[in-house]
Amino acid sequence: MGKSGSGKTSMRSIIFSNYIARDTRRLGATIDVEHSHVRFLGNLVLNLWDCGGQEAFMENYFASQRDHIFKNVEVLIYVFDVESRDVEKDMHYYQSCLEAIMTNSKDAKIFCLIHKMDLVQEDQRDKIYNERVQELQTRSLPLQVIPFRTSIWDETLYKAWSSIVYSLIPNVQLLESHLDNFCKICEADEIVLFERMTFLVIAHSTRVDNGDVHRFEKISNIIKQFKLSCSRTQGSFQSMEVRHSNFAGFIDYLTGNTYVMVIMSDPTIQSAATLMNISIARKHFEKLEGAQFSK
Amino acid sequence: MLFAGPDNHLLEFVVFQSSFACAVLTVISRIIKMYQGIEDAGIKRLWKRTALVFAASYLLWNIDFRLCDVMQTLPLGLWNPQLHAVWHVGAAVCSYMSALLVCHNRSENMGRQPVMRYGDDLADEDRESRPRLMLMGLRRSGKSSIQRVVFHKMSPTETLFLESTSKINKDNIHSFIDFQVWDFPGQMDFFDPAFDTTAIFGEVGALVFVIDSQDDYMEALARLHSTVVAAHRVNPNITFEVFIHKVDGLSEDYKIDTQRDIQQTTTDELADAGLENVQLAFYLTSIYDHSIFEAFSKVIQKLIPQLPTLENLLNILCANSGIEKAFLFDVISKIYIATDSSPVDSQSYEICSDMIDVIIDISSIYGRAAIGAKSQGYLDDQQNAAEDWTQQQDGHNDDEDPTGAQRSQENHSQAVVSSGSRAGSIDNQSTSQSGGNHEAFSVIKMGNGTVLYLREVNKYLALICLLRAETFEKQGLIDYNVHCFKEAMDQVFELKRAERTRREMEANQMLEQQHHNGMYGHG
Repeated sequence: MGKSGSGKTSMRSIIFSNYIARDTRRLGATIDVEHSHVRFLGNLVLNLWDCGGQEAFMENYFASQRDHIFKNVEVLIYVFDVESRDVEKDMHYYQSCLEAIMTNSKDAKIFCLIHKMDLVQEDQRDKIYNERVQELQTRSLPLQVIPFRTSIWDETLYKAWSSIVYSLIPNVQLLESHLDNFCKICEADEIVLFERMTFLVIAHSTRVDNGDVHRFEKISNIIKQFKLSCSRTQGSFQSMEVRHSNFAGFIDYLTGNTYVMVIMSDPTIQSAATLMNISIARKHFEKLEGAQFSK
Repeated sequence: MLFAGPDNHLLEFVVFQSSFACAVLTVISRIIKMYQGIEDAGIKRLWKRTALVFAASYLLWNIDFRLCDVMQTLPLGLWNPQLHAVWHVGAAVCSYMSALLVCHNRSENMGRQPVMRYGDDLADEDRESRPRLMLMGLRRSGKSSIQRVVFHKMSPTETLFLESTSKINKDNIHSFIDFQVWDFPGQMDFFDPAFDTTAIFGEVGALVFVIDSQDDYMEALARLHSTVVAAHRVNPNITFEVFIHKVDGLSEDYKIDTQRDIQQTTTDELADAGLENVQLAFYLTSIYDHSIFEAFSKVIQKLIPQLPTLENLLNILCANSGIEKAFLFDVISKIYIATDSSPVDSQSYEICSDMIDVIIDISSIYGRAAIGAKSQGYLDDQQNAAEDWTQQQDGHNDDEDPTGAQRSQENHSQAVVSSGSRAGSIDNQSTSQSGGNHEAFSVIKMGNGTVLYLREVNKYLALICLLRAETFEKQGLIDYNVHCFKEAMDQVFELKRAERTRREMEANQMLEQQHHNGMYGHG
C-alpha cells in the first residue's frame, strides 16, 4: 500500500515481471486492487495485493472493504514517496492502515519502504532517511516496523525485497545450516542461494567475509539484467563461470527453483571439482526442498 | 647593479628595490613552474639553451660595463671586443627563442598539438601515429553525449545534464590502439579564415558527423555537405561516417525512411559537387542501446591497420575450433575491434557486451577482497573493475615490453584519461600477483545450447566466442587454440611496437643533428 504514484506497481513489475526500470514509466495507475499470485520457490505462492493509492480507493479500503482487505495479512508493505509534499496526509493514511491491520491480522509484519531515494541528493540521503525512519517508528507504535530505503534504479530494491521474502520462507534456518555445510565441504568463500525467477537472495553462507555489504543485491541486480538481455536473444541464462587471478565464481541452477552462486578463492582448486560438488549438492538440496514444502 | 642613494632617499630606494625584486622573483618562479610542466625533451632542451644564452650575454654585458677600462687597453694591441654589442645580439636571440617557447606553451594550453621542427627539411618527421577521430555536427545533436557514453561509461540518462561544449575537447583514449577523440562544439564555424583547416583535417583518421534525427535535419545536411567538401579538399584519406542519432525516439519504419532520405540527399549533393568517389557510411544510432557501440566499432575498425590480419586470425580460430562467432572486444569501451568474417547480428554483439558488463561487475565485487588487502583504499568503485582486469596483466606485460615506449605514452596523458574513465587506472601501481598466470576467463551457458566463452587476450582486449554446447565439450582443444591465437596476436603487435620504437629513435637523432636552425610550426 501507499499513496498514489509512490511506485508500488513499478516495484512489483521489476521484481516479479522482469521489467526494466526504464519501462515502468509506461505503467498506468492501478485501479482498485490488483491481485497477483506469484509462485516463489516453486511451491510457495505469494498473493500479492497491489492496492491502488488514489484517495477514493484508500477511503474505500478503510470503510467498506476493511475486512476483505486487511484479513489474513502476512506482510504489509507500505511505500512512502520520499519526495511527497504532503507528509501529514501520508501519515494519516498509514496510521489508519495500521489500525486496520491491528484489528484484523495481528501478526502481520510491517515493512516500510522509503521509496524514490534516487531523487534525493546524495549527501542528504542519510539525513532524510533517518528523519523519516524516526518519525515512522514513533508513529507506528506499538507495532514494530522494518524500514528500508529503496529506488528502482539501483540494487536497494533487491535488498528490501530479499528481506521481505526471507521473512516469508518457512524453515529458512534449516536451509541455511545445509548451505553452511555445503560451503565447508567445497572450501568455498561464500555460497549464496537465489530464487530462480526473481533472483532474490534467499539464504547465504559466508566463510570469508567480503566487506561489501551490498554485494548480494548487486549480484541480484547484475544477473537479473543479464537474464533479461539473454531472453532478448531467445536464450535463457543457464550457468556461468568467472575465473580471475584471485577468485573464481560459479553461478548455476541448484534445484528447479533456485540458483546458487559459489565463490572460491583458492586458485589451485580446479573448476571441474567445484562443478562436480555443485551437481552432487543438487540432489541433496532437491530432497531437502521437497521435504520442506511437503510438510 | 645597485645604486646607493642619498640617505633621505633611503625609503624610496628600499621600496623600489624590494618591489622590483619581488617582481623578478615572481617571474622566475613562474618560469620555473612552466619549465617543470614540460614533458617534451626537445622543448626542454630549448629552454635550457635560452637560459644559457641569456646568462652568457648578461655576463658579457657586465664585463663590458665593469671592466671598460681593461677592455679599452687590451694587451697585444687587441681591439675592444665590444661586448655590449654582443649582449644585444644575445638578448635578441634569447627573446626569439623565448617567444617560441611561449608560443608553444600557449598553443599547448589551447589544446593544439604543436610540434617543434628544426629547418625545412624535416617535413616527413615522425608524425603522431595516433589516429584522430572527430565528432562534428550541429549543436545539441549529441556529440558530447556520445563521447561520454562510449568512452567514459556515463549512463545515458546522465547525459541530459551535460552542458554544451564551448571549445574543442580532446580526449586521448588509451586502449588497444591509442587514438584521440576530438569533440567539436556545434556552433564552430570552420570556414572562418582564422581557422586552420589543414591543421585540423590534415591528420584525421575518421570524421564522424552526428545528425539529430528527431530534429529537422536540413540544416545539418547542409553543414555535413560543406564539412565533407572542406575536409576532403584538405585530406582525401579521411573516412566519413554519418551517425543518424537519437533514433530511439523514432518508429521502425520512420527510421528506415529517414536513413534513406538522408543518404539520398547527401550522396546527390556530393555528386553534384563532383565528389562521387567520397564514401560516406551511415549508421542509425542511439545512446540508449547498443547501436552506438556497434557503430563506433565499425568506425574504429577502419582505423586499425592490422585489421585484415586480425580478421584472418579469427577466421582461422573459428574454423578450427567450431566457433560460430568470435569477437575481439576492447574491454573498457566495449567496442569490438575485430570479428570473423561471418555476418554480425546485433543480438550476439549485445549479449557479448552484456557479458563483459556482468563479468566486470562481479569481478569488482569479489576480485576486490584480495586486492583490497594489499592496496586498500586507492580504488574507487568505478575504476575497480578495469583495475582488476588489468592488474595481473600489468606485471606480465612489463617483461615483454622491450622499450617501455608504450608505457611512457600512457603516462604522458594519464591526467586526461583518468578523469572519470575506467581507463585511468591502467597505470596505477601494479601489485604483481602471485597467481599471475590466471587470466580472466569466463563461460556462460544458455538454455538454448549456446555457450559464451570469454578469455582475456591482453590488458585491453578480450576474446568472446559464441559456440554450441556440443562443440564446447572439447574445451581443452578450444583453450589450446585460443592460446595459439593469443600468441599470434602478441607477435602482430610486437612488430608494431618495434616499428614505433625504431621510428622514434630515428626522429630523435634527426633532432639532435639539426637543432641549429630552430624553426617552429604546429599541426
